[in-house]
Order: sequence, then C-alpha cells, then structure tokens
Amino acid sequence: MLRIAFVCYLFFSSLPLMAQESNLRIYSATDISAIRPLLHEFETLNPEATILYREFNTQELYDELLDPILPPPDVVISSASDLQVKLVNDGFAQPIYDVPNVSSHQPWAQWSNELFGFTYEPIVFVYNKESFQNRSIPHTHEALAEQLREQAKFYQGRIGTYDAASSGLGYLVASQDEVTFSLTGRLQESLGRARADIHCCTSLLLTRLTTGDLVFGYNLLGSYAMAKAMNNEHIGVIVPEDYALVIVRSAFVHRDAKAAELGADFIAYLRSPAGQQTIANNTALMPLDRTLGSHNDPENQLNSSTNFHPIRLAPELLLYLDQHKKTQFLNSWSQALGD
Amino acid sequence: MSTIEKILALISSSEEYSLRQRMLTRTALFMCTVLAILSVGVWHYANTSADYSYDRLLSSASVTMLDGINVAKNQVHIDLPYSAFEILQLAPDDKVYYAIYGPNADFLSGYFDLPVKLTDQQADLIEPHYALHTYKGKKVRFIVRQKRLSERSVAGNVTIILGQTTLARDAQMRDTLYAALTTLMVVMGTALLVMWIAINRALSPLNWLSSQLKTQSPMDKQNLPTTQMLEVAPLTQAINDYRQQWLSALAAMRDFIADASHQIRTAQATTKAQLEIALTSDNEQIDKNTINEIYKDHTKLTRLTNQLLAHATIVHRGDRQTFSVLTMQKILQDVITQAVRDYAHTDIEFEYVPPHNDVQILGDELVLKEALRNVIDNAVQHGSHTSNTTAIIRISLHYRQENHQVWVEDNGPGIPESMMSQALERFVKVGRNTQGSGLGLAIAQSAALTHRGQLLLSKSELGGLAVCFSFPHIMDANDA
Repeated sequence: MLRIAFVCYLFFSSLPLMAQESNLRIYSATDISAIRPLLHEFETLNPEATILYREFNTQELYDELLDPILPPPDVVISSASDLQVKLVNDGFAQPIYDVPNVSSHQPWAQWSNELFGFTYEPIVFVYNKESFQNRSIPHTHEALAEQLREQAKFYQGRIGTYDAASSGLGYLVASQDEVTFSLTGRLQESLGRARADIHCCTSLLLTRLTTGDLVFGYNLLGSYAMAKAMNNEHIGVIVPEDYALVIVRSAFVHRDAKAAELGADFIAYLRSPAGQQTIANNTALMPLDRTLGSHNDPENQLNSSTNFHPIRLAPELLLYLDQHKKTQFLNSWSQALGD
Repeated sequence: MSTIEKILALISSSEEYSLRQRMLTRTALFMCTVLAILSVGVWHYANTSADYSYDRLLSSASVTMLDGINVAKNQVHIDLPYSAFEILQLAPDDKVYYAIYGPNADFLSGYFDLPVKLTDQQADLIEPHYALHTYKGKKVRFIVRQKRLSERSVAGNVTIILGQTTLARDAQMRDTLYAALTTLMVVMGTALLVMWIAINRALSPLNWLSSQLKTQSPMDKQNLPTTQMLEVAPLTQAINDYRQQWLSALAAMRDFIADASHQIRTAQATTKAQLEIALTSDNEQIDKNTINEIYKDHTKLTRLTNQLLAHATIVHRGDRQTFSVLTMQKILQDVITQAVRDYAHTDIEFEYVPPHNDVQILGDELVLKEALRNVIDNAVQHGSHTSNTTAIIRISLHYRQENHQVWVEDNGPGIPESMMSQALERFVKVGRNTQGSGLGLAIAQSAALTHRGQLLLSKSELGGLAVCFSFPHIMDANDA
C-alpha cells in the first residue's frame, strides 16, 4: 500500500498510445519536479518519443526490479549508487555504446559501459537561519560533533538526518561516511544523544527545517537542499569543508528494455553538453560537468576548494550490501541513533 | 600441408627458376611456419601471464575477505573489509561475485547460486583453487579459499568463493598477445628484408663474373681481375685455370694441325714429284723401281694419314673420358690375334706372356687397342730385319703392386738411350727407318696419359726397344 502511495504515473505527451517502440519507460528515484525539464527537452529533441515516467523511493525501485510487478523499464535512474551497482553487477543492465564522456577526469562516474553517472550532488549540512543568528555555524564534521557535545541543549531533538534503514540513499551516505571519516562513530553517538530526528526523505527534512522544527540537517542531498534554499530565506546550505561526499545519480538501460536504443539515446543525452547545461540551468539537480556550476548555487560553493569525495560507481559499493555487513551496520547505527 | 607440397613440387619441377625468388619464397614459408609455432607459444604465454596477474588480485582479495570472518558470540561473524573490494578495483570494469559458506557447508552470505562446487578436501585449506565458469551469462574466474575456525563453539572450515568477470584479464591477454605478435612480425619482416639484401649481395659476384666474362673474348689470355672476396676467389681461379687449359689445348691442336699438314703436304709433294719424274721420263716403259718408290711413298702417306686420324681420335676420346672396366688379357689377345693375322706373310715371331692374375683396368677399349697396335706396328717396323735372326716381339702383362704394366719388346737395334725421350714426340723419327710416320709412339703416349698411366722406353733384354705401358689400379684411377 505504501508503495502504491509513492508511485505516481505521469504521461508526458498528449498522445499516450503510440507505437510501442517510441515509448520510453523510465523508472526513477528522482523527484519528478527536479527532472522534468530534462524529460521535456529530450521529447523536443526526439518528437516521436513518449516518456512514461514513474517515480520511486530508491529502495522501492530496487525491490521492484528484483521482484517485478510492473512491466520492465527501459531506463533506470537512481541516486543510490550502491543499489545501482548491485543491479548492474547482477546483470540487470545491458551495455550501451557511444555515450559521451562528460570529463576525462571522472572515470568513477561510469562503470563498465553499463552504468552512467550524470549528476554531481554533494551531501551537505542545512541549517535554519533564524536559529543560528547569533551562533557559529559548524562548517566541518568535527565542528558539528563538538557543538553537539557542547551545546547539547540547543540541538536536543532539533537535528535531523536521513533514515539509513528505510532509505537507500540514507544507507549509502551513512555507510560511506563510515568509510571516509574515522570519527563517524562518535558523530553518530552524538546525534543519538541529541535525539536526532530521522526521516526517509530530503523533502520532509527540508520542510521541517524551514518551519524551524529542526535547526540543523545533517547529510542532506545538496541538490534538493540548494534548490529549496534558493526560494526560501529561512534555510542556508553548507558544503562541509573537511570533506563532502558526492552522490552521482546514475542511469542504465534495463536488460529487458523494449526501447533499448531510445533508452541509450536518453542516457547519451543526459551526459551530452545540452543535457548537462539543462541540468545546470533548469533543474534542481547538479551537472556532472563541474565547470557549469548550478543556478541554485549563487555562492558557487560547488566550485570552492572543498574536499569532495565522489562515491565511485564501482563494485566496492557491493560490500555494504552484504547481508551481514548491512545488518551489523544498521544495528550499530540504530544503537547509536537509537530511539 | 598438401598445398605446400604442391607448391614445392611446382617450384622444383619448373625447369628455369630464380634462385633469389626461390630462396626468398622458402625463407618466407619457413618464417611463416616459425611464426605460426611461436604464435601458439605466445598465445599460451599471454593466457598464462594474464591468469597469473589477475589470479593474484583474486587471491589477495579473498585473503582480505577471510580476515573479516571470525567467531563472535559463538557464531561465525562476517565483517568484510572494504579494502577487499578495493583490491578488485584494479580490474575496474569487472563484476564481482562472492559467497561465504560456514563449517557445515551452510550458506552464510553473498550469492547463493554460484556455479562452484564446495569440496571439503584438506588440500584446499592450504592452496586455494581457481576455476572458470559461466555465471549470469558471463565468463567468471572463481577462487575458492578456506579458513579454519577453531573455537569451541564454532569449529570447521569457512569457505569463501570469490569470482570476477574476465574483461580486464582478457584485455591484458590480448594486449600481451598483440604486442608480442607485433614484435614477432617486425622481427620476421626485418629478417626477410635482411635476407633479401643478403641474397642480392651474395648473388652479386655472379653478375660481376658474367659481366667480366661478357666483355672478354674467350681467346683472351688475360686472367679475370683478382677479387677481394675469399669465397669468389676459387671460382675466378677455377675459371682462369680452365681457360688456360683450353688455351693450351687449343695451342697444342694448332701445333698439331700445322705439323700434320706439313707432314701430309711433304709426303704428297714427294709422291707427286715421283709421279712427275715418272711421267717426264723418256722411257715409254715405266721403271718398276720408280713405281716401287711411288708405292712406298704412298704407303707412307696412307699410314701417316691413318695415324694422324688415330691420334686425333685418341686425343678426342681421351677428352670425353668414357671409361669402363676392361680385362687387359682380352684386349691383348684381340690385338695380338689381329697383329699375327696382319703380319702372317712375314716371319716375325710373337710371344705372349700372360699374367698370373686377372688384370682389370678402367679405360677406353678402342683407344687402348689403337695404342697397343701402334706400339706393335712400331716394333715390327723397327724389329730385326736381318735374315739370320728371326724377329721376335714379346708382349707381356704384369700385375704389380703399384700398377699394371704391358711390355712390348723386340730384338731389333733399339734406340740409343739419349734419344729415347725424343722418340715420344710427334713426327720425330729415330733410327734408320724412314718408313715410319713418327706418330706411333706419340699415339701410345697420348693413350697412356689419358688413362692416367705412363709410357716408358727402355732397353730390352732381347736387345731392342722395350716399351712399357703402365696403368693404375682401378681404385687409384677412380681416386685420381
């Protein structure tokens, strides 16, 4: 029932029943509002194509592909790189060719010739501006851990983060935090002591931050947060200065795709200069081509000298999907952040 | 294989061929064969080396993974280290599959449907084993490695099966193969080029020789210019020697023709003078003495002509070297029989002393008979003509350690020892007999020389001249 509630079927053409091959079925864990300009532009470039877009939560998308109820998609898009890698590793993708390279310095944004990244979305801190009027804002993970200890009262019950257990992206970010940052355990405990608010999605966290229910958001998806902050003066976004994980949203053509060629065209378009430019200028997402910046990033934090850690699209991501590893990680995570 | 044989047969059967082309073709064929053989070796090497390097990746990753398997709270505790999969990142595009099995072959984690069978052999504990399988439609190289857990609660082997697709492995194999093959081809190509240059270089003396020979007249007495090439020097030397021999043979022939024509002309002139004298004589009746003189002269001329022709035949046949094995007794018997018949009207006594063994030599029957006949004729001519003693001609055949000898002796006056060597020259007549042509002994000597033998003159115990032919044994003749 929950799944059905999240699924929203969207037709992007006035002619929904055209020839089967011209229907491009996309199953994606991306807000439709964030990706709509790209879909529109692709349809303009390919007038005969009709896009059937279905939105999922990352974990639900993964479950659907493993145990399908719906017809197989042509293109699968998700920000949960580990689940994407797992799907490709298990043979759910088919190789495609002639996909443009966005930059020669980003071999990690592509795995084999099956999985292709097309965005560069840092994991950020979000804060409520009013609450931090006379306070120093933590710009590093270490500073945050310190403040959580020293100003426990201020943060008590007013800091929010992703739920690693129910959100694929939340799990990926939390586990990669552990790989990247040696003090993650301490930070998790501090979050637990501060009775952190745990949510499944960035949008909910952002809403609560705007209203002032939460003063600080830890590990939020930078793209959505920056887009929200553009239109909302209550919240501010900080790209952590010590290190910032970067999520690479990726796409692949499904093994059983009916319109595999069109799917490949779509992925090529996402990585083409036109697609990257549209991502930078018209969407909430951030382009893989970092020279383009983003219209949601007026302070140009994306190109500051921050220590970015893009999460590579590579089989090492499979490790945290190991049954035992996952159970252990989630156990310690829930214990730390325990209710 | 059969096509190559056909080509080879075609090459060898055609009558005219280019040495350069044939050498190059054969070298190329040989090199291709070598290349094919080496390619197989290189392919094998490329495979082995690619397997070796990527198996090491698998091996170290599996060791690292086993590090994360321990016993905690009386259970197998699996906490795979992140670095394990980072090691596998060295093959960036390859997919990774693994499975972990507990002590009782119970599935613990990973992919449950890997196509690798679990074995519970003690050997596997020490040495991991590798296997290539197809999984999810891809070629996957697997390693199976075990670790012993010996806690009280959990005792037994945990097994890890780790697999990786073979994209990087195959790519490295291809790289190695292509690099090695390219090197091989370049080496072979260079070798062929060097070969081509070498063949041209090696054949250039031939061109040089033919150009030298073309510009020179065959009668040229000049030698070919000396060459610095050690390998060519014997050839030019041989050509020079050959030409010198030809030239000297030609000179001998010229001398002979000059001598012969002089002799024949002299004899003809004498005969003609005799006839003219007879014709211009006042007498109607021709004096019998005159006719006798003319007859003598004519006989002499005939004999001279015959002997000249015989000499030419012997010299000519000697050049051709058509020798066969001959039994000397037989030849002597034939010659003596003929001589006895021819001289039946005279009172000459022929003696024949046969040898103890069979005497066989390598020679030309016709030449030998002619030579022997000439010597016998010579003996008859120069033998005793006094009526109180009977002319004796003794012919004997001796088998000696070093050679065979045929002796022809007479009891005539003989030749003084000082003149003996002169007697062997053409047209030299020794002694009082003027009927001889002066060719008999010369013919015999020519015959002896063409048989690699000798002709020796000495004084006979019968009182006259002893002519000794010596011939080498068959083996020596062959060796010479």
